[in-house]
Amino acid sequence: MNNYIKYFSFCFLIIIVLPAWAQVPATPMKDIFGFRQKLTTVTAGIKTIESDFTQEKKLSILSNTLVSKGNFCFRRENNIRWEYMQPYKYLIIISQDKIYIKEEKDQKQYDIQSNKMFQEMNKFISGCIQGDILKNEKDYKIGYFEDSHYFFVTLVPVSEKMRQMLNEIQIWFDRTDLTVARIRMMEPGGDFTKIDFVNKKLNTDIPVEKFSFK
Amino acid sequence: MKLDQLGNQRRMGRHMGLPCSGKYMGIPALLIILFCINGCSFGLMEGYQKTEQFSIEPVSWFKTDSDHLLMNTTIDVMKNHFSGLMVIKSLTNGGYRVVFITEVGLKIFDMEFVPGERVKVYYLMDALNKKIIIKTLSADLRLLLIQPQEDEKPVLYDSPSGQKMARYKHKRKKDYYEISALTGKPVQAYQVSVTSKKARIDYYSRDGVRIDSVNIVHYHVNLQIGMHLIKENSQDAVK
Repeated sequence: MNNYIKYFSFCFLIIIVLPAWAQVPATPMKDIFGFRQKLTTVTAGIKTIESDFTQEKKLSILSNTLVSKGNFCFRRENNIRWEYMQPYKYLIIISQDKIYIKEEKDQKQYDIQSNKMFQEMNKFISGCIQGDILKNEKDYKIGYFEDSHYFFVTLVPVSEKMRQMLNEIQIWFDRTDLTVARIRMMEPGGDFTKIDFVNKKLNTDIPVEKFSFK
Repeated sequence: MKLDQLGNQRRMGRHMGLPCSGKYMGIPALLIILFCINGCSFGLMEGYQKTEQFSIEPVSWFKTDSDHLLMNTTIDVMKNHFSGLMVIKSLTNGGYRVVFITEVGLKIFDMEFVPGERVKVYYLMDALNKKIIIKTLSADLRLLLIQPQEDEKPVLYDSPSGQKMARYKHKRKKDYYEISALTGKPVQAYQVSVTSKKARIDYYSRDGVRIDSVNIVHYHVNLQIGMHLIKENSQDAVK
């Protein structure tokens, strides 16, 4: 009997959870121009963002999802801090043209210009957070959708090389304050990384020392 | 100092009756080449004797009951630093799928190793897509995971102090494993080419059952890899 209960509870969970997880807003956005204009105004007024995040990495070779958790800070201009708390401590600060990485036993500092990967990563992440990436119609084919909770934007890289790495980037903007609620980076073959931003605080006083390298 | 050492070596050569000059100059060089081709191990095998007294084979640390192992990994190659998670999944055919991703989730490489087959590269980040890097990285991972040719039996060596060594051949390279006599798990591994030692791996385990960390160093290339096991169940790393 107990096994039956477990079995039905499991099926119930699958039915309830799976569509919510898989669902993306599919209704084309009615007022793209209005959304973009509002986003420009709102992001211009954002000086700082502080948020917790949960990152999930889905790999087709694994039966489960890899989960990381931490804290994210942004301070205009170009100051980003990702602090991973789980499954291990790791800190990455991108400030102006420098990148600083602190691992459990080691810390390193790089000139962002010297590393193409960091350069692209920085441009991409800050572009997503600040919404600037939507202005880049040269490098991405952009799709606009919406539902009652989110404005949903899809970016398909134009470059074949970029598409080998990520074939679509999806960004969920919260309808209430137009901040980024979720980013999902889709890879060819179905693997993806999903980052959910929760407990967001806008324009709080984040000391500049948080982005300095010690 | 160097001249003195050379002088001493020459004197030793004379003392040992080895010809060092004139028309015999080519003979030592030829002997050295022959010595190298015939399995020079560059000091690795000092005191070891080939043996058939035991039949233990090297056992990979990464062949486990769990679905996969997750390693916190850093790779320093030339002036580039990569860090992230290395996912190592053992396959039913004796091979491994190895995926390396950055902390923010971007994939750096995805490779598959199967005994007796060439490495299959599913994905490699553009910045690393160079023949020499692919060759070196795949050789390192093959050495790390223990991937002999199909059905290849290792040549075994024994030392007077009881240490065990196993050797596999890969074309012109040889993989040496200093192994535990009890479990067959390696303590150290070396990759040796015809001319020199190429790479060394140090395996660390506190309980002798599960790997804790790994360090890979190269002798001639500026490449270093460090890996630390992430204990997933205790830290809610999977869902």
